Amino acid sequence: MKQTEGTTRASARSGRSTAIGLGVLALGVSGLVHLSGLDLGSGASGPVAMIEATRMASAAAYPAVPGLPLAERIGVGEKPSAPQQAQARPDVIPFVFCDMPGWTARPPVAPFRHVNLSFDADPRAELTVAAYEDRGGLEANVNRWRGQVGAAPLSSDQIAALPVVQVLGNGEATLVEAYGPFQGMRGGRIEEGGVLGAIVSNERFTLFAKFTGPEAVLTAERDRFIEFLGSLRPGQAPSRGSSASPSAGDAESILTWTTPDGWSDEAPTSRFRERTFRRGGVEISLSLARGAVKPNVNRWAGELQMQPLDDDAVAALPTLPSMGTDAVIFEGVGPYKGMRDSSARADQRMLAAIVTIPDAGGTIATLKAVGPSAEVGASRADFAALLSSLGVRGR
Amino acid sequence: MAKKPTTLLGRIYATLGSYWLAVALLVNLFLLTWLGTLEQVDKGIHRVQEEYFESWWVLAKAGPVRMWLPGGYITMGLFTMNLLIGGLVRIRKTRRTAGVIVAHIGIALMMVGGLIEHATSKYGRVLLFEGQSDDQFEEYAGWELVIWDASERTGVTEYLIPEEDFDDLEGDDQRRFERDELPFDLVLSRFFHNCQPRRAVGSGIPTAPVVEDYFLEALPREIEEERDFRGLYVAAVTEGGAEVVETFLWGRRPIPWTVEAGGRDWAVALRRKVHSMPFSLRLEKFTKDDHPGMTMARSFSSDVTKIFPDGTEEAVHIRMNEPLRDGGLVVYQASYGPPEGQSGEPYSVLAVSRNPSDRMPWIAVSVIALGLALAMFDRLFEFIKRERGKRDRAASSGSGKTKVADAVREEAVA
Repeated sequence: MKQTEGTTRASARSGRSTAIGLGVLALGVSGLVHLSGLDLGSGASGPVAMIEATRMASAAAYPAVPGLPLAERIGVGEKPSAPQQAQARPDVIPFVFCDMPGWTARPPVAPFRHVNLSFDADPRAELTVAAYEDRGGLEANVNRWRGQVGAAPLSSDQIAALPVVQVLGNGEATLVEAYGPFQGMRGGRIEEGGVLGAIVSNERFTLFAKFTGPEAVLTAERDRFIEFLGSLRPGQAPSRGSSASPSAGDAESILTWTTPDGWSDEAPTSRFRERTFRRGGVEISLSLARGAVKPNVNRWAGELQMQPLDDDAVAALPTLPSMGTDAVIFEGVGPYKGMRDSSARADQRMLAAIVTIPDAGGTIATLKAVGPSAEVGASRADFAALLSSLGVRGR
Repeated sequence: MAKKPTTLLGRIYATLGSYWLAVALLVNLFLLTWLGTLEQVDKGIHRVQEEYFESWWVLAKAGPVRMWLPGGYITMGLFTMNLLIGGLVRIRKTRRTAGVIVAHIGIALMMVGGLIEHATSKYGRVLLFEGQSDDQFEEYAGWELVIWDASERTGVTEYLIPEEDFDDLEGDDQRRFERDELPFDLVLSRFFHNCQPRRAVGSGIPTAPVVEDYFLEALPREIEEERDFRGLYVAAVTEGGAEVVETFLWGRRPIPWTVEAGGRDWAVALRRKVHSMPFSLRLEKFTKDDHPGMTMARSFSSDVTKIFPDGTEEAVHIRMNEPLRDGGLVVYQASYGPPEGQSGEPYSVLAVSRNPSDRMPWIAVSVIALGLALAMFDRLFEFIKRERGKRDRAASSGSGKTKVADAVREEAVA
């Protein structure tokens, strides 16, 4: 009997120790699972849950455009126009820019590549715009570009002395220009190549505009590239069907004017152009841009197949008063081939004015009348009246 | 001989630590691995991993036969208990079993490492163009809904809802998500594992609510998980109780939907999960060496600059099999672009893994090797000792026989 009681007690002790052992084991395993943060379940359940996780990101994940229609948000619907193709990628900041005849907009091929243009006459020439949240450093990027054509790196002082161009409406971009054997990104080495680029930072991103290709194309299209940079505008909410800017009469235009009698007053067809006035075969365009007098005058001269003007010739151009300062007047006759024209039109006259708007950060206004020589000649008075009526909104 | 347990708990305890359970679990593990590998052809590695190993039970497919098997959680959980009870607790602790115990500790470390990896590791990638830098990486397969103040450009606070919190919302199921800092609640519904938007006009009867003429249409899951794009219907309820018109988010285009609430615009997007790195990586130069006369890469590498928050920089060269290890991250050279034959700027794809236990296999294998060496040498020394003893005994018995023979010989001579 004693022996039986002893066996029972031993058995009970064994059971207790087993239970304790299993309990400790279970606690250990559950503690390990808890400490490791292992979630073997399916996440939140029930009709209400808390948003528990947060993260501090160095920059916004994607540009947010309030009111963006769903079709544009998910990238379906109407086929985008060329400038809008830059918005085709989810991570693209919208950009619009002036018309680029002779260039074809292609869908961006990489993240942060917002604009991707190729030159029709020589596809080796590419013009791209990329914007990164990170600044990366001007010096490193300038020398990286120079390195791509075998050019020696520049010192900080040399980089600081590089020319600047106007871009994004109010930014001064460092202009990088170097020529040499250019190694294409995927093979395609160009022996006489080059890189022409601009880098500018603002509070949102650093923008890299880069024009690469054969040296001959770069030099021929250099002014167009500068003009492109001046017209580039970021961060605008995409419009539904057009990249057109608001009309000049809208609050967004900084200009005011008085339309001469007998002239139409048409909404702009690109963000680069503020207004178009027409009468008969004459078209007067009013534009805002960045840049100096000489490049614009010589661009116009080129459109009339004229030789470029030197400094003395530019300095000798007549002026007319406009916006409280002097507007430089250029007039020429010849076969005209504008950026939108596929071929030159014979016997055309151009009457153009360029005025640097005072206290506007280097912004220039251009007024350009083009048409049959006689008609434009007869429109001088109206042109002068329109030019003198120009003003800055709010001043 | 061990005493047979008499209580129920005792029997369970003994069973958990038994050899036959270990054998059964190993057989099940073999079946999971084998059948899972076969099913991977149709379902892809990610989904099979989810169904076979990150599950309690799995309806496994063995040719035409389907059978329920314990999934990875049950198998590995029981296996760990079996190892702890049978291999560490109940095993006799003697000098002879010391090596086996050490080896079992090594296996246990391997299991712990696996658990930590499963629970905390993150894998993803960062894609960099030359001159570009980034301080975060994106997961291959996981998704999340992210909310932030649309006016913030830098130093953005993101509120995150992981996919696991809404991937069960099918049909009319919905779940409301709240956060004190947000002036609105989000009501999520109709989760799609893979989907595409479709125009309602001309599509027959829409299978989901139509928003601005479009609805989300379910697509079959792709074999490669990376090709799936999630979709989700979402509505915002502002503090006043007014419900914003419902919309949907599509992961392929994570351009945010904006909600106006509390006097501000809030951005809401569905994207692949993103994780911060303790430093930024800036790609200085990507180098690709081709085989002679071909465009096939022989090797490729990235010269990157590691930029810490305090502004200090460090140049690092990352190449295949020579990753960057820092801050708990391992950054490998994984891929590059653009694809052969396509023009564009070169970019480098770096695979990033955050696995706190990435050294655990080395440690565990070392411990196991030590245990096996201990056990082997113990047996070896025992064998040598036994053989020496046999020789000695043989030698001593041999000398005794000689003495007897000598005595017999002496007697005969006498």
